[in-house]
Amino acid sequence: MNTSEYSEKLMALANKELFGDEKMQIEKEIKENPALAEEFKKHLLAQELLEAFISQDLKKKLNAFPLPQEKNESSGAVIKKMNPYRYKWAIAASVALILGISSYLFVGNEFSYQNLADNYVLQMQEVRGTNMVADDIIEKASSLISNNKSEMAITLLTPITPDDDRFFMGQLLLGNAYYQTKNFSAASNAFIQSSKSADEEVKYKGQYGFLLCELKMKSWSEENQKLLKELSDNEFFINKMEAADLLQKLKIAKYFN
Amino acid sequence: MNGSLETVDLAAAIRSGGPKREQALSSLYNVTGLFFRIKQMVTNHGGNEEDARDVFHEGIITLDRKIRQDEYEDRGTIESYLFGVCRFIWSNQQRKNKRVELKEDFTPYDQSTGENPLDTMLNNEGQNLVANLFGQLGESCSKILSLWKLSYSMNEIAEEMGLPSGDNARKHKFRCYQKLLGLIDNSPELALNLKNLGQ
Repeated sequence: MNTSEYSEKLMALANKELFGDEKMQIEKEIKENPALAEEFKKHLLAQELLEAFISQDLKKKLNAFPLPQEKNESSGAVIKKMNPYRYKWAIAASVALILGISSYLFVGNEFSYQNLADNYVLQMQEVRGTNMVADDIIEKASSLISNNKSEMAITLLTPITPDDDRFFMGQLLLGNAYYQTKNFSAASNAFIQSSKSADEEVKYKGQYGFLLCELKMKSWSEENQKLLKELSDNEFFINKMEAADLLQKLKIAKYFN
Repeated sequence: MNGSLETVDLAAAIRSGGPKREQALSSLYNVTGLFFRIKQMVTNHGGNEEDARDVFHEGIITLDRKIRQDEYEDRGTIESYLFGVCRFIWSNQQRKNKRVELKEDFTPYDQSTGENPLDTMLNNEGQNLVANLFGQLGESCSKILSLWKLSYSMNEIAEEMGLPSGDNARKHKFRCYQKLLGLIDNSPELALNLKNLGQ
């Protein structure tokens, strides 16, 4: 076995993914080879660190959940199950009105896409980290988007892969760049990716970008409406006010149909 | 979800990982009356609602970990187990704060929450260390490795991360894992932890 194959085996063993003869063989080698035993300890520590990270992540998610509600009834206190997606609101806005609203949103006003892109430029200046290559790409791409050179930004951003530190941020910008080129389908995909970020700011911006694409592609749905309502209620979403404004406009649009 | 939880089903869902685990944890979180019982227990013993929330969350995290690490024994309902874990957590915290102790005896489940190296890693200093390390690892690598650790299949990871295939996800996972090992190599605090693992 070469070093890489050993590493694969040790990783699998530490994560309890090896069984039978394969497991026995590598365990025997670890017993007989102190260097390998030392290397295996590192894999065990990696597993413990991953567990610790998962616990931290779960804690963050739980903290963001509303607590189960209590309801007083004659028989005593009962816990009422919460449904975060209880909001029901149907919308059947006409294509013409949606187009009108979305044109207003995206062309030269304070809620414009350009304005969002400009915000990203400011954000980029704050996120210098360990990966200077990706950071540089992001900074350059951000500047290109602000200068309406989205095709170049797309070429720069596309090579950022999911194992890169700045993948989700890169997807957010890619969404912006595609949006600027009016490739709303590709923009939507990139925004969906960025909305999977654990960084809440990137996540919510990705969700909002996705919704704007849905509007542009005339595929607005009840689910989109729910998500927009959540964003407009979300204190941690930087564009909360814009989301609330859009929601209001969509509600008004309903009455004209 | 009302009434007793289907302990075996929920534990199995959490153990199998992936999206099923998330659904099971969500069901557990919202089980009728459970938080109310925990809140009563905490507030009757010197705590407030915020303490109760923390204890409830810590209890779910502990339960999740114990089930996934095969340290959970199917005795009684999962709510009773979780309640026992929460009682232990609150009592332990009270002891640390040198305040009042719970008067009642612990349930048998309490014994299963003894501290382990991971608990130590989850104290404040350890939390910073872990947060720092995964900050250096990068968000997407942290996510890929977490999904792998939570038993998502390679195809599910590919879907989550927008990768073209399971094979591609496997390659990314391996590269991220190597990156994590590299960070462990370069961290003096973790080197110390590594030594302790051998003892």
